[in-house]
Amino acid sequence: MKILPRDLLICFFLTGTCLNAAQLQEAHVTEVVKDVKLGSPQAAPRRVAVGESLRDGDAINTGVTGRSELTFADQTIARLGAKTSISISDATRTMGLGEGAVLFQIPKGADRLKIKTGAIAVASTGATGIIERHGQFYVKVLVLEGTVRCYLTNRLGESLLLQPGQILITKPEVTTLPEPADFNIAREMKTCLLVRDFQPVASQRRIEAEEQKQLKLIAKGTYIPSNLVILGRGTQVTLVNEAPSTTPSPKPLTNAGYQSRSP
Amino acid sequence: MQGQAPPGSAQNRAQLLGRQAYPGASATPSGETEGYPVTSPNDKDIGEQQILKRAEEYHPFTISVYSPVYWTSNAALVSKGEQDDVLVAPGVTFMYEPRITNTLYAQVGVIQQFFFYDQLTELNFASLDVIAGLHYYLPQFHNLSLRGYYDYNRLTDTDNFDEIFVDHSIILNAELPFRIARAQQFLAGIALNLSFEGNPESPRRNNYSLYGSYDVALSRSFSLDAGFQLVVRDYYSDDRTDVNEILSVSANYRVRDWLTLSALSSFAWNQSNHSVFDYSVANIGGGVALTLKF
Repeated sequence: MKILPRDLLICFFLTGTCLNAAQLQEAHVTEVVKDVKLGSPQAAPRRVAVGESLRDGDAINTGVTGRSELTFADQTIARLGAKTSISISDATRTMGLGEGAVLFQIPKGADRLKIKTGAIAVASTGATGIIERHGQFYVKVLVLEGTVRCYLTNRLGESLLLQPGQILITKPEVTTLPEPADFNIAREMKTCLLVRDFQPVASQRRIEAEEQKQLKLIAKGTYIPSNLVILGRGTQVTLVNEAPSTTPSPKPLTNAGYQSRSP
Repeated sequence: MQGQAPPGSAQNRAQLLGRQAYPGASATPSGETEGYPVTSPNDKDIGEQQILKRAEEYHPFTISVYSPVYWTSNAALVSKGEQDDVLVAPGVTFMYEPRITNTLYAQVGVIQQFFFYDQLTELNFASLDVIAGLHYYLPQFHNLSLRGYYDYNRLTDTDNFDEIFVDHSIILNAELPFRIARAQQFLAGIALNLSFEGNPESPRRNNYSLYGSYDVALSRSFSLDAGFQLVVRDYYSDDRTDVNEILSVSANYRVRDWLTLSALSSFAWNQSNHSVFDYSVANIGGGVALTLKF
């Protein structure tokens, strides 16, 4: 039998496509802290272990003290905070956030990862950020480096690009996206447990570069640090008594010494 | 048969009903107060978000340089014996808009534009406008924008800048934008252009315009605009009144914040109570515009 170059080409193409599809259809659990459960449509939720594979239809739930890290085939990582539930679909390219908080780090040039929650979707081909949702009350998106496209899945054209240092807070079933605000990246990085309690993210240097860029803009007067701080999850803004500082303490701050103000 | 499920039904129901229960209950918030999550040791896991206030930078000066090129079906805007031609209309606009209050701006500007025809060079002319006025926004009324300004307009030839026509007018304008979504906007407006001095008398007129436009951004750099304008032109002499309709469509590609490429087309129809002034014209072309704000 004579094998033509064309046949070889088709064979290589088919093999490559199959391998690529297999790679894309897998994600792995790379870190588990305390109570983390894996559920699938075919089985009841059970405790998950490091190294387990995740496929379309799987869901991960973290408990009150649980945290987890997932690594996708293209080295995208997703760190799940406590009380977080996510589901995986679309050949692991889409992550549905039902509740809780996720830090995502998508390497530059990676396959586009989409995170959907309510009517909102965020997508990027290279960025680090945090997305948080609480029930029907709010969705919060923060970008630490790279550019994230935030858009509504049910409204064509309702889309905006979030740049490093921008925070968007809105409702999950919103019909119009609000304008983003700005936050202090350095303070966020120093107090974020999804950064501090894990291995450094691969985009650490790019985040530090964004911190430096922002500090220069603060020094220049383009940004004015306010004494309004959201102390972790939620949307409650706290009026800080101390003078605003661009070099926050390395430890997470407590509620002591702050005046609470309803938003 | 009642009560008996078909084969495979259990799997389907497990998937269907199981998904409703998905994700598991362990992550479901409970006991929240006014929409805020209950306090737990991990509530600070996403870190502290110190809000930064962005110092507003306002740039009152704008310089625009542009050069559209058109093919026009009726260069002289005549009712009979129409001749097509190509014209280049380079221009420069300088505007100074100091902010008086948050919603009130002064506006002073100079606009100089040239119109060079390829074949019918005797039609070449230049237009100079000097404007001064106020621009007032009313955010509480759907971002209504009101403008009132004085316009000095001088038309000259392009060889020696000899005066062809000079006009002094007051322009009053109200515009109401309707944002359909982040990427789409409809705008409706009225404008009155009231001439109070002009030389020679015959081209002097008052314009009463109604206009609307629709803009859609197909991407962050590419947008399409369509506009319609109806103008009644009431001339001071010869008891002449024209009704002019203009339909325009443009596609704009923003290469940089300061550089825009455009494809432009417009169609105009003019009906006059003096039929000699009736005409129709189509203009199709493209252009490049550079805009600097400082």
